[in-house]
Amino acid sequence: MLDIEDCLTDILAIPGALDALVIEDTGGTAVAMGRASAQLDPQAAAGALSRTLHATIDGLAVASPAGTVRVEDVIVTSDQGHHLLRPLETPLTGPVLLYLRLDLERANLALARHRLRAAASRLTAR
Amino acid sequence: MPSVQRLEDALTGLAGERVTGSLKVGRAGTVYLSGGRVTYVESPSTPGPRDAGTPPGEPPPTEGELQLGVLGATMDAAFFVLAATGARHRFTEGERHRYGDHWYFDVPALFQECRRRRARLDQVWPHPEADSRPVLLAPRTTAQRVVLTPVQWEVLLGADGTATPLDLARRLGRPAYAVLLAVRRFGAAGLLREPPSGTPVTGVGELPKRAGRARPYADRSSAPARPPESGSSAEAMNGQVRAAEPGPRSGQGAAAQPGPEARPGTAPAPQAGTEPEAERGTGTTPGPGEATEALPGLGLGVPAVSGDSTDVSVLIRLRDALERLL
Repeated sequence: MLDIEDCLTDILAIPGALDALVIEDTGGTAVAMGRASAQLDPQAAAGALSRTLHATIDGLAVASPAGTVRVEDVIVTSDQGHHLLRPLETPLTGPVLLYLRLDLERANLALARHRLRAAASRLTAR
Repeated sequence: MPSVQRLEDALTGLAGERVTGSLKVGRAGTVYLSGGRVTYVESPSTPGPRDAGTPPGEPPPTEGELQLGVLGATMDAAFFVLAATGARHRFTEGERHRYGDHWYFDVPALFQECRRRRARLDQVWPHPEADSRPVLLAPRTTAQRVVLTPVQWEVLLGADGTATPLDLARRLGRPAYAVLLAVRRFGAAGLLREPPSGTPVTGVGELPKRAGRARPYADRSSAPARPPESGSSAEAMNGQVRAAEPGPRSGQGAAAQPGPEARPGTAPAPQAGTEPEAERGTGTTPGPGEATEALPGLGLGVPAVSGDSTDVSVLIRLRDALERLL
């Protein structure tokens, strides 16, 4: 059993973790963040990441043979690092997003993805 | 507490005094504070975390789930409660919500978040009238493909021609803001049908909001969408956010600033001040007749055509509506 702060602590303990955000997806609102670089505005980032996820989902839905899609996570690699976005359905509220940015050199992407999934499932105990 | 005091001033004062208790905001809802920070907001217009549904037989929620539930429900309710104007406030010292304290919101950050959410609705589709009137979906679309969100899907199934977005939110157990957003997205996609010509009242009355350059109605005086005043309050929705440092930039840029009608300092049109309270504050669904009464002095019914920008907007909207029916 984890609360949101514990979940963030877990995520930031992932090797190579740079920034992490917990985002309330309905409003695109940052609810908690960890160790963000000074330039990162969490509210602006939260809204933008929420839109990024939804644009990706929309695109993939159209591109999928079934026309619908269930995205488990989104991984984008850029010059700024690996970006992991994981949507999370919670029984008591609307969707929540976990965001993690990883250092390109130090991170193990497969491990990070696995541990982000584990942190998410412990947060909702599912 | 004088009832004429603005809600934001009242809450800011209570936050400064680090009080613990509840502030009842007319019929719009109740704000719970603990040590000057908001722990919960409830509104009859929005489903709380319980209503959002733990099926019977499920294991009890974890602390993380409770926190997320309280977070989501509070921000959803705050969107409506903090926008209430003209409501009487009554503070009850020491009263706590039965859920207890699971999360803390700073008062300025909560107001800022509500303004940001309202601006986002208008970014999607600048028609506030769609928030309060029954959801009428177009029977046909000229689009070759329509992509829906899950909430849109539920709205689509639930819309019966009489239910407003808030009615649907209660029925579906979805955050009310999520339903408002879904309906605005339908509007932006051209999937909403205009109300029948007998009941254009709300739409006409609301039009100046969109064409508001010349006549800035104070429809959102309740939640004046000022530009973010400081970056620091935007940094933290609560005291636990581990912002490394409150960067000076607000970062929302144009995105946080809705249309020109939201400029601060515009003189509120006195008659418009009652309207958000009527339609948002209490969660009632004004029928066309009631809406007429709530918006006196706007030349309702038969708009007097004078060629100003408002009338042009009416005509453009009528034309669009007719085209959609074809």
